[in-house]
Amino acid sequence: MEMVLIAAAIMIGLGALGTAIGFGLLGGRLLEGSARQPELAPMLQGKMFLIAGLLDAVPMIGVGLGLYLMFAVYK
Amino acid sequence: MGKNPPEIMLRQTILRPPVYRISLVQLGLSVLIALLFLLRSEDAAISALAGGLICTIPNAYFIYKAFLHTGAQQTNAVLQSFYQGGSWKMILTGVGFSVAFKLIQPLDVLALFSTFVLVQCTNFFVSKIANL
Repeated sequence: MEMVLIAAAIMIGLGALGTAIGFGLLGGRLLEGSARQPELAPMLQGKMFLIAGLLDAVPMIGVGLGLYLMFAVYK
Repeated sequence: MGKNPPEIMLRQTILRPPVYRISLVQLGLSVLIALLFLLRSEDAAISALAGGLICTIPNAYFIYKAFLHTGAQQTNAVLQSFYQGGSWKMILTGVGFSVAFKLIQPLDVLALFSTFVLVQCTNFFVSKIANL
């Protein structure tokens, strides 16, 4: 039972960590790009949103599966 | 001193892309998949609709936060809002799953997850949906 909880914690925690690193990199690139070419900032914001959607997708599924494991254990 | 007129004009000319379409597409897809699961059973349809909404509602909030500010002069506000939106998206998704697992009885897990994954896959077509 404890192993299942540890597995769920790893799924949720590493998913959140990966998303955070990805968002950090994306934000840094947006700052760089906006500083170099301010007129492109709105376009860059759209592209950042596009990548953020892709970045988020898999960790979200991980969060769902992790919570399912937790709730399945405590049923 | 008043604001510089060209600056005001510049702020007004920055158009936001039609990102609200993403939420509409996700909502429509959720309802469509729920209707398809209705052929199987009513419980499966409810679970499928819940899975779709668990994806759609946090994503709609993220879209709202991501495009709250625009323009190079507001890059810091854009980033701050973006990070907040991303964090809240993850929290709201977790809360949504917890509520679904607690409140929906009997829960069709396959319907819930398959709808969630399918609606999440609309993120791959965001550039086409919202002209980004």
